Amino acid sequence: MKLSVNGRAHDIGSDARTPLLYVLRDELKLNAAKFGCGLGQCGACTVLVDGEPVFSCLTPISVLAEKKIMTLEGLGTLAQPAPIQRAFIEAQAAQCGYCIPGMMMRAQALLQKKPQASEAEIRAWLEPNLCRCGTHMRILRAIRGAQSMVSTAQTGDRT
Amino acid sequence: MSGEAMIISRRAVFAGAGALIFSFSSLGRVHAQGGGGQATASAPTQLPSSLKKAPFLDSWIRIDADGTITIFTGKAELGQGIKTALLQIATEQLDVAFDQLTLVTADTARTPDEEYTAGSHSVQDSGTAIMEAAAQVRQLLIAEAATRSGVTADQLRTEGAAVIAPDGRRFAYRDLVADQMLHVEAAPQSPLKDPHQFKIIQQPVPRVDIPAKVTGGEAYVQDLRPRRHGAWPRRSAAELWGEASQRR
Repeated sequence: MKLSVNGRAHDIGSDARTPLLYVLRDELKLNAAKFGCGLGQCGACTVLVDGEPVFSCLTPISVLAEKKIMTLEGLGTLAQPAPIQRAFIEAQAAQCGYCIPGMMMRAQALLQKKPQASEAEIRAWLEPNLCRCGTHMRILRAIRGAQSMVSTAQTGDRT
Repeated sequence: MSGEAMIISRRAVFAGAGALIFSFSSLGRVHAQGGGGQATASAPTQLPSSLKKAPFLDSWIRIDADGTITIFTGKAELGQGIKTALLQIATEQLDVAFDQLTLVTADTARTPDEEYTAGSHSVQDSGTAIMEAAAQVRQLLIAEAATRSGVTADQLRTEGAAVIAPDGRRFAYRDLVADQMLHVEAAPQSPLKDPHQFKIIQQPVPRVDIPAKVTGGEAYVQDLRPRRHGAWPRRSAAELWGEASQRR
């Protein structure tokens, strides 16, 4: 079957019942989405499907044929990081960093839906994602930083 | 927090016997710093920290003729920030630019065997070894520049990966290193910088491991996909999942 990942169509050889995470990591060799619990309880595997955050460890590729999948790699690169990536670097918002790609993708979904989400909305939105290092305050700072980067960029476009 | 305050509190915390012995000898070395020439072992003691098991300077620091300077550690970056910390330490003692250094971590073929990365020992053990080795490497480079320039070592200073003579002549580290120059065992004492002169230790430096972690770079054991070595009879999770599904 074909899957659209980060704007590119890929021929996928895996069984249709395979969870998306294994296809991303093993077949497409993408590093960002992480295996944490495999049970949809930690959020480390979070990617966007048509702009919505999903647990890729639980989602079989059979339901994704017509969908647009976005991983952290699709947002930006080391050379050209997306606002959320720049914001996480600026805020140094990672300790071990294992949960961070999932955090970033869930946050990205919120920023796309509601760029000016309030602090309370951000906190509630991120609730499914766990961080055991205790980086939460920096993660929140990074998301606020990304919000202001995006709003500044939009203001800049208009003028 | 000032560096001194940090050092003192660390000493208080790491009240283990080994750490205490190291701490006192470290103080002695700080005061003994200055002047050039060979590291003298006027009070021969054991080599500190991880230098005990890997005493050769080039186990820790390598300078290539093309100017590449590589630091080796047997400890692994697990998000503690040790890559950044170890580079700060090496930068400080070597007088090079922070981003000029390459760091190799926990590579069984290339780095010293420092066993576990655990117990807050990375900076204590590996950091101390790198600090001492870097100071001694810098001293060897100064000694070589002294020989070449005819200027005594105490008149030479180091900056930007070069030894600089009072008359302005520059001797780049890469030009000073000869084949086996750094393949010597460390001396028990090193000409360490005075902490009051530190330029990059004590400064907040962005962690060098974070950019890869926020862009999908290789950052974890899970991201290594060995192809030739180890030839594991390994199937991907996707293949295993497929087989398991078929069995059901």
